[in-house]
Amino acid sequence: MLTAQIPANENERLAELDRLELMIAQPDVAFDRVTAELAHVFDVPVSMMSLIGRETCFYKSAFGLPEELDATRTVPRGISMCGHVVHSGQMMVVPAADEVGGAVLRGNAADI
Amino acid sequence: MDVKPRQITPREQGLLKMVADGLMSEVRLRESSRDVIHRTRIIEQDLAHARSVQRFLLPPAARSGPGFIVTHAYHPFDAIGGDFLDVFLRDDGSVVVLVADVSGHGASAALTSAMIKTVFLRAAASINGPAELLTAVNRELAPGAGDGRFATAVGIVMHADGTAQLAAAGHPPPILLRKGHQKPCSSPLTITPQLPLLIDDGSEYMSDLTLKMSPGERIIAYTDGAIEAINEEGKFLEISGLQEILCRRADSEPHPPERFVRDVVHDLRQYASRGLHDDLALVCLQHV
Repeated sequence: MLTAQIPANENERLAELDRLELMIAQPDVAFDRVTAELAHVFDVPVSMMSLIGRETCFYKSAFGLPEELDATRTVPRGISMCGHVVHSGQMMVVPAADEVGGAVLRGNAADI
Repeated sequence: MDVKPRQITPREQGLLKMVADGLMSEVRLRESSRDVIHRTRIIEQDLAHARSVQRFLLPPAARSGPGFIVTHAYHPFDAIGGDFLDVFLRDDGSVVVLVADVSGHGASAALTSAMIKTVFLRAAASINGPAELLTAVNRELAPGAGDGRFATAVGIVMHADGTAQLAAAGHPPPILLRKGHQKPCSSPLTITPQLPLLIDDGSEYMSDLTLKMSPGERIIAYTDGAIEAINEEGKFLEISGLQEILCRRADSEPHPPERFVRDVVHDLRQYASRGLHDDLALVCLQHV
């Protein structure tokens, strides 16, 4: 998978992320309810709310993650699909990450 | 691995966008809440400090000199209050007392009351009577008082022989509390109403009343928080109610002088079953 490019406003974005104090691994009922409900509505096994830090992708809330990943809620930013969303600043629709995304997205952390 | 291909309709994309926007709103709301909590903590710490400063500015709980004992109680409605009281013992053996009530509550009223103290301390040593004190406070502070800000006040100068001079500026009348079983036990002192302080910096105040006190007699000066205490039925205590409390507590002596004002405030709080809703300052000036 191609590593996502760094957005032009990266420093400001990271400063804002830091200020919002969200990169903290603790249960969050409000967000967890949303990810669980989205998984149900869209009939998907996994639903996540990701935050892209300098080096990592942190799943602030997640539903359906494998136990091992659920324990850390963190993957390297380089293998995160969400890094591409942050760079583009737009919604990205990937019908089948392993096929349609091809070289760009194959091998991303969501290949679970 | 989940390999089930999926299609997402524009409507579903819209739904996802709405959810994402909602999540961001939640994040922003949490940020605002944190900010408000943080600012509130700072304000509370500030107010706690201001409260300590204001208590520090109060005179000792009891002061005595040749021919008198002065005791007081001070209870702000908020963390800090706009009521003021102070006592100044002069070299000639007389004592000067000022009780004032700055309009409003909170920090701005408290700052005005602190300014009154600076003028009081400067003027009390040299004034000839309470009217001069009121005039001095008014002349110095009225020009800087904000729109609508005013203060009621009563000044008392008492000499070692029990002669007391009083002047008031729009303030509730002090109460004379007699000793022993004299009837009536207490009387409001009739003082001609004069304009409250801080309204007109050109006001000249008159000493309206001079009286000779007997040993054991007391003058009680207070702010309206005392007589506007409200009971369960919504009834104000009023001056007559305060007189009843004073007489009852005076009858139950002997007590140390500080105990008397504490007991009176206790009774005021009992009357105001839902709590006092104004600052309260009360001074007892006893001739001995």
